[in-house]
Amino acid sequence: MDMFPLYNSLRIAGISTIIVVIVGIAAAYHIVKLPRSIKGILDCIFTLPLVLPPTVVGYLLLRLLGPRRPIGAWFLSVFDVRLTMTWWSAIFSTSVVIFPLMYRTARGAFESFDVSLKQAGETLGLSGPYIFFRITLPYCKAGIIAGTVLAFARALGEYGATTMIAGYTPGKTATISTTVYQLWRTNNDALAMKWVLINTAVSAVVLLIINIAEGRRNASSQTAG
Amino acid sequence: MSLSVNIKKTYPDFVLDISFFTDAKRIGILGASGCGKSLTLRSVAGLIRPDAGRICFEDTVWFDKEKKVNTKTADRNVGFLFQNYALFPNMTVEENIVAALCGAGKNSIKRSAAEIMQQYDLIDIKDHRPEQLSGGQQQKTALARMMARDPKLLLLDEPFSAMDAFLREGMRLELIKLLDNYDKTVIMVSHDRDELYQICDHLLLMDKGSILTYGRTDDVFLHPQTTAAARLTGCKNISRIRRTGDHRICALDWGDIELVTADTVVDDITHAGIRAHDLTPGGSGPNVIRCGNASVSRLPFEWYITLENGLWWKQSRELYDTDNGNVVPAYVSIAPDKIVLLKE
Repeated sequence: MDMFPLYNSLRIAGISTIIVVIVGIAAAYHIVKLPRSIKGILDCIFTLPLVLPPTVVGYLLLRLLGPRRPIGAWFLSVFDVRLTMTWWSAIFSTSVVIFPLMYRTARGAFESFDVSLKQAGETLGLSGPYIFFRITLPYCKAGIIAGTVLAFARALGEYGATTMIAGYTPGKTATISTTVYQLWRTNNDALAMKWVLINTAVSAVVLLIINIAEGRRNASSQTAG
Repeated sequence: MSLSVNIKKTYPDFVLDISFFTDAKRIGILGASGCGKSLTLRSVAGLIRPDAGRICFEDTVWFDKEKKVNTKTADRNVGFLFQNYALFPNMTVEENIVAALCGAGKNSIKRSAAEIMQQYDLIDIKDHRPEQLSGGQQQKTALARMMARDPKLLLLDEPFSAMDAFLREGMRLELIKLLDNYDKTVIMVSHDRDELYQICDHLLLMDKGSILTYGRTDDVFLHPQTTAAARLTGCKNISRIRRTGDHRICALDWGDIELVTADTVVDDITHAGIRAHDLTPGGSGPNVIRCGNASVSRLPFEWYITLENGLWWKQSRELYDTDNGNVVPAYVSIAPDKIVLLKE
């Protein structure tokens, strides 16, 4: 059995999650401090991929990144690189789709952050980065871990936008989800079932990690109260 | 050492507009909750930014709207004690102190964390996290952390409000001891006049975003000047008056009784105040007040007696704790020098 789809799914999900954790935390951290009107608009834009059908996200991405579209054409002419139909094209679609999950959980965590801790850091002469990395982030740790795992789990299951932007090429762009669809379409039920079981097992492990992280968060908030 | 503050900050439902200069060492800010005293303290620390005005400490301008000066909190080197102590919850007591030493910078005299913990008696709890500490231990840790940087000015925001009454007494004494060894300026905000009376030599009274009075603590308590200041300093009886002579008033809210005052009743005096414990039993002296049909509220160690004319009298229980006698005398009196003349 060719394990490429598992490997490809894991690397796409892993890289997308890393990108989204950094961008999502930065977006969430800064949006909390914005005036209400701008906050509302940005919040809406950042959350949109969560409610849009993945095919719509895929379509919009193709309009931007396709070889004859503004960004895609520019990359093709300057770097001679096609942005679509490669294995890493799926990183674009997956990142956009999972971004709202990370952003919203991180924002919730930052909103519940006790501002007096930051202020205490300032009166003690601590630098901005010290306060952010040593006080704010550890305080919001449980929420950020939960968001990360949730985003990773969703990334593993991403199908619609990915299939539009990366397509299905066995051994090149195939992921678990696109492979299952392909196998079912070609009546290869036995192999499809195997991939379904693998996918279910991986997702179950990820969800288990979420539960453990959330359990710990609840426990710590109880002792703090 | 001097501090001058002249700032304005507008919120949708509140305006902070204050101006004061002080060169005192122990300054208390007294006011009801929501009067802006905590905002004042935060402005001095640079935690909130006023809309207009100027803040100067010693010879340094910390904030000047017109000259666009706004020194960052981290560079003002003030010690700030937060109401909830704001200990970093992800760090142990020792790590909290070490963090403060990280912020202390090169210019200050560096002391070791061990030395500081020794001084504040924190060695036994150095590996505990804030959530495992009692209120008193949390405050001690917060004080130690605040002092680690050797701040130029201490700002204490309601330091005892998060404690129960028993613990509060002990911590108050600890704080007084600590401040005895600190020769720089301290500003303490509280709604508890006893606390401020004990600790501060100067008092700033605030009401609804502005300053009522500033002066030596004793003076402020003896001569509050205005009705709002009198109420803040704990004067329970305040009545409108009519001037009937240079040293005579008629108290309109206390059954129109005539009273003789030690201070001269000038024209703009509109009210008079009598502190509940300044009334004495018996009918001697020029100001005798009939108790009449008084109501008594019995507390463990004191009685609160409301006289027929509405005056409120606080009396130690022992004096009238007889099994069969009448607990309320027929008359009480008030010495002329205990009548506080006030303006609206």
